[in-house]
Amino acid sequence: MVKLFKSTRPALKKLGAEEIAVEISELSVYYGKKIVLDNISMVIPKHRITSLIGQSGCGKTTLISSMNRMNDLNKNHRCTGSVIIDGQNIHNKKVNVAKLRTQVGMVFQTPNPFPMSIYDNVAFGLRLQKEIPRRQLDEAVERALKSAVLWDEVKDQLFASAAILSGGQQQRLMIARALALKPKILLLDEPTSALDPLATLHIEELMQSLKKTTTIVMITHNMQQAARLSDYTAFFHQGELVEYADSDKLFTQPKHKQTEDYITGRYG
Amino acid sequence: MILSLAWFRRFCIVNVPLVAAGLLTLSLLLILLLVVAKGMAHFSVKPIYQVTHPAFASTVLAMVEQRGENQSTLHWFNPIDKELQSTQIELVNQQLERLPQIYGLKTRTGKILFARDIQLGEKPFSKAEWQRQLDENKIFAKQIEQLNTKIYPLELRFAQYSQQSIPYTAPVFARISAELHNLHEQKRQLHIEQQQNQALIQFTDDISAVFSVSDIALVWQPNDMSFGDKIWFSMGEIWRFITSDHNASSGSAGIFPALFGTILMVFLMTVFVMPIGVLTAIYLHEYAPDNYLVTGIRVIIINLAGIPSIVYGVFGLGLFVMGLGVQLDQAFYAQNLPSPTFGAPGILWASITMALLTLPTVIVATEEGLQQVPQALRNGALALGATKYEAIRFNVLPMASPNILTGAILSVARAASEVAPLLLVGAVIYAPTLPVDDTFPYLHLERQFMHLGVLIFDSVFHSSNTFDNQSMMFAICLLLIIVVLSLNLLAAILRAKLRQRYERYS
Repeated sequence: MVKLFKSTRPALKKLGAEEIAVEISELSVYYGKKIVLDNISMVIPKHRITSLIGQSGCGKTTLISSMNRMNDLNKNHRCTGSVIIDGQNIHNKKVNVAKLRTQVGMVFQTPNPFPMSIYDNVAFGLRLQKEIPRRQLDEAVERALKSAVLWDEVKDQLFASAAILSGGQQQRLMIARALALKPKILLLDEPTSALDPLATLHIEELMQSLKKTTTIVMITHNMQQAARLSDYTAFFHQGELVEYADSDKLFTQPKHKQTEDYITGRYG
Repeated sequence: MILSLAWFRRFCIVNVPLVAAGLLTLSLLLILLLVVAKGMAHFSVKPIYQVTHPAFASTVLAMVEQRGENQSTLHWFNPIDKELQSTQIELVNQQLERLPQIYGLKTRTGKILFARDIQLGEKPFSKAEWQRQLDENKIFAKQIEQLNTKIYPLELRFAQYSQQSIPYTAPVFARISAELHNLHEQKRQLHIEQQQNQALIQFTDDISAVFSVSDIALVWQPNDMSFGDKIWFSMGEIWRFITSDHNASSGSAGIFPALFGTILMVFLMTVFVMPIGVLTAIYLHEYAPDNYLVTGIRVIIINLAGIPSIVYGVFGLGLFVMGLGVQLDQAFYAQNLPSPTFGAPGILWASITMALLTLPTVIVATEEGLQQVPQALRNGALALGATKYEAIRFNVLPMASPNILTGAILSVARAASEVAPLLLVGAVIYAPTLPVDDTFPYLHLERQFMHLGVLIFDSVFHSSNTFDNQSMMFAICLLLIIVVLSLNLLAAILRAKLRQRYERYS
């Protein structure tokens, strides 16, 4: 009976070096003079789903954006500390940002399909990288759409405009688009916030199956989703990492009062 | 009546925007209607009258233009000078006679003649006979051409032999000269036969002239035409107007060079302005830092659109023609000096000046388009490993393309209708050659060109005496409107298609 509840996941502090996908140490991010992330240190385990929860504006999006340097787009942005992926600090100026972003894919809160066909949307990232023969491209697109569980729905209309898809399909298309590049890490910013329960279910199943090959970092406001889907969960409050633990532990026996208040809905 | 007036007043007060829009549309339509009516009148078939008036010694043939009661302008044919002349006189209807057999003629040089009768050889004039003789002449011309191809090599040989100091008594000379003599005789015969196809044109009872059939371009009998004939003749006139060469000396003429010049100039202008304008807008909107300098540049660009166009003309004349052009001549065309190549006004400088003039329009429209592209789309592309350039090239620019086309439409309309700066930098009233021809390098950018607007400008100042010049002005106006509208329509259709394609994404 006890064994049922015993976690199969290693504790965060006992992770070996090869089990870590991202190592964030002493990361602080400022927008102008305002501090958005305050001295964050955490590790993201490899091939697991990690959820980031917390109020809006507590810095979750900033944190995942700093994992593929999408923060750079903000001109007032400034950061200290390091984010290490594959032994390399990606905030180093020498890093090839475009290359990094193919390794660390990102899916945004609202689907943003490009004004092209479904096929071209998925092939976009691949075409940018190098000249690929048509057949290989076809295969890659099919593989990406299959792994995003969208293939069966769109296989007859690959060359139709991406705008004809429903919101849930578009979001899966966005995931397929990112997956086509075979990223090591996938960052999802509230991927299901705009979707109906069935589409949400599709995406959750998709994430479960992706876990085998990809590290997933997900932002969510849905506590149930974080609890049932993610292996580890981090709770943020006003730019600080309050608690970071195994999801089962965090949702059943939170150490901090703030965390408990937040997950039980008494707060924020 | 009072009720309906009161109702109308109330309607106007309640629907001010509707009434204003209606009035505006109405006045626009009226302008268009005026231009269309006056312009189409240029191609209508006007009757030729036989006028008996004390101002003339004998009866004359004339077209009559009414100017108020009894006062008319008479475009009468002077049979001695064989030219049309205009006189203002008082006329009453009894002095006009509309004889059915009066002919109007147009010669190959564009001259217009009025005649009472035409004889083709021995026979009276008929379309079929005229056509037959024309065809015959064509065949003769072809035969003469063939003979020439035989004569020329023989003469060349003759010249070569005489250079080689072969004595003239040699038999080869005798043979060649005999053959040449024979061929020349044949050629002379053909010429005579060709000359026999003549038209005897009777202008008045005692004045007549003989014209070769090939010299006559067009014959019509305005007083004896059915409605269908008139329509057909007018369509022919429109076709000739658009396609034939312009010749200022002969009054009525075609405007093909001006039409061609306008379109070519607008095309070259688009080629210059679009890349520069779009790239500038992309730099300003996507790459430039957000500081006072860039804001200042933006303000300056917007204000550039407000500078009077003649200032651009002077600027183009000073910088391009006198500055750049003269430098180019000294560097590359020194062998032609002192006659200028690029150092004189020409179509290149005109189109670059117009490109400068329309640059602000393109930049502002493009920037507007770039602003409308959602930031999420750029982020999406960047998150997939696109560089900033790739994101702009593959995602942002296609989305902004409808607005870029709007900029193109506006600039084309502006450039096609502008006259003042063109007068300074290359457009002329009469250009002997087109800027495009069959000699290398085919596109002669240094040449001067004709422009529809300039032609209108010219015909306003010379409209008083020449025959049908005023109606020609309206016809050119109509054509200019059609050119600009059709260019706009083309771009508008393209834009609508693009909008339809991209609106679902923004």
